[in-house]
Amino acid sequence: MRMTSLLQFAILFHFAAAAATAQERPGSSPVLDVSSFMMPPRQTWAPIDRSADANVVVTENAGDGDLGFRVLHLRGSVKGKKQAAIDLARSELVQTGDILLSFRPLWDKTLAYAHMQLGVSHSAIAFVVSVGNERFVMTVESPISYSSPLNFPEQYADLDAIHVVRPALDQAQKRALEKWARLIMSNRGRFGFFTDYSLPMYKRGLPGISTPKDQIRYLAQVALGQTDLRFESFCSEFVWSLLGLRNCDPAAFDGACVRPIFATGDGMLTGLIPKIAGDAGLVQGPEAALIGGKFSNGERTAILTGSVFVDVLTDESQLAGRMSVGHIKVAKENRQNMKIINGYYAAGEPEALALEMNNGVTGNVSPTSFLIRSNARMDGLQYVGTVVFDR
Amino acid sequence: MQRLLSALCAGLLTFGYCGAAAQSREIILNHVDPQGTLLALAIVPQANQLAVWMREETTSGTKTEIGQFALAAKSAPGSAEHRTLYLFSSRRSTTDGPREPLKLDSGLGQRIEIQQTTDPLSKLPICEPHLDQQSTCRVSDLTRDVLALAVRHASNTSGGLGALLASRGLVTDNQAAKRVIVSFNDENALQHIDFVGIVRGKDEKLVAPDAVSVFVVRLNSNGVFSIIERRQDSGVDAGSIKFEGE
Repeated sequence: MRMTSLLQFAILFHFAAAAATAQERPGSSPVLDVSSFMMPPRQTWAPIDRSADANVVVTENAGDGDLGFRVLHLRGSVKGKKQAAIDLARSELVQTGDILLSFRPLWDKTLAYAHMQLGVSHSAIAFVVSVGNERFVMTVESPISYSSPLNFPEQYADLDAIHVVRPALDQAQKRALEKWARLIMSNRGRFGFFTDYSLPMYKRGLPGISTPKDQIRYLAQVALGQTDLRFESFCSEFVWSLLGLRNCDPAAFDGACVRPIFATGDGMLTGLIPKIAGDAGLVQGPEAALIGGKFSNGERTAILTGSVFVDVLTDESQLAGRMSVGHIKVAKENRQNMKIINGYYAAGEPEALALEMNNGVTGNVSPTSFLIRSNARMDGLQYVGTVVFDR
Repeated sequence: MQRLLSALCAGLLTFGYCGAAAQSREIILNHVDPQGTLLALAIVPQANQLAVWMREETTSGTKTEIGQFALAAKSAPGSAEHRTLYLFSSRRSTTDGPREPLKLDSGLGQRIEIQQTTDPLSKLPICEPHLDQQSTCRVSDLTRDVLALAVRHASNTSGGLGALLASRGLVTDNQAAKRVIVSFNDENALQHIDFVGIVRGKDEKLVAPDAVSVFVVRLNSNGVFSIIERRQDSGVDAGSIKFEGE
């Protein structure tokens, strides 16, 4: 009894002391205590300098294997506030052209579809801007109303974590993206949100838009006011399309400069690449992470079939505090597909099965795509870190 | 080990040990006690309609306490029955006879059940936030504080939350993810509890799947509900922005 009390005291003392230290130097964030397959491999982390602002503290949150998060700790009081955008700009850890992915840690250990998406629900592009002497990070995104210094309430007030993924952009490409962003922000009324993520723009029967590249050209035409039609997109196809204009100057746009950010056949992702050889498809984020995390083949298969492509929470009422009805609906609609993918991994990833499954997949870009390709070390995409608000 | 430490820290947060500096702070109940969050989402909005046996509470000094709640063990594998069952135990449980389980809406059209039990629940382990619960576990003391606050004042408010929503032209939101945010002041006293995603404006359009209404239901420390409307703290005029290359 006495030993137990002493032990309890020791634990409490340890935590009290640890908490005091954490005020100055936060350690692992409980918000990011998620399954390791949701974490990026260390080898995919972008090199960064020290935070140039004391309000942004950088730590590492190690997972299993060689997986983990680089955590950018911001103050809790700046969540959903412009000050968060100011702090990030001052830290110089977020750069123009970086992709911001809304990360939902509460999706961990819920439904297979949510696991497959690595907890990512939304994407945006960051621009470092200034008004007067004040520098801050400004997002450009779809819905266009979300574009803000990280303070649009419907999106940012309750966002616990934001992954930052960096495309390989040179200065000229960043300047080109800024020009397109200026046009877009000056003509917000031309941009709308499209809710069906399973139906990319080039498959909607829109005149003159029958390939993914057409979609990028169309964004340019709408931004330039060359058409009266609107550019209606879901979040990731907006980000993907805008990045596809990185080699284009709005003042001399002729369409030849369009280049999708992903070096795939049509610039978008298919479902499965057998053995993930030289490519990575829409469902392969966890697989790419586990490969990068240096898990053995056996371990990888066990995690993919036992933890990733399975519904963990079968009590649907338990989902109320974790995801929206819209996301639950999509997850349920894909339940059978998730079982098939589980079977694919359990069967040793046979090529024939992958190809058969791909026949039913429309090339597309999910918000997770950017992290999938980063996890797979493709297209020059690199993981910078994950912003949390816990200081 | 990391998970154990996080869980311990989450538990200790309830008592103010982690992040103990004298400053106001928020705890998102969804992260530290997801099982309790569901209970709070189901009970608090209709605390004034609960049966008497559930509303029993005791007050000692300034603190109000409510009986113990526990998440029941999962149903047997293969069972077709997927429901969330909570157990409730109070001193009255041992003197009264068995009661019909209470069924409540958890917010997305799913119902939970609360069943009275004479089994002592206080010795059960606290529910682990990050694990799929296999065995019966107790919801956190932080959740009980939230429930106690709602129940304590439930009979004092006229019309309850429903009347307030009607007066503000708000409706129940059965689309958005729900959050419970517990705020403490710089003296570590519970200041208010925000329920996010449980209401929306009658004509409010939320375009994206993740969007959450700007209207938040706040339960203040005096037991009174109010509505908070979130606004951008600062707008940006696109014309005034200078990009780095400009």
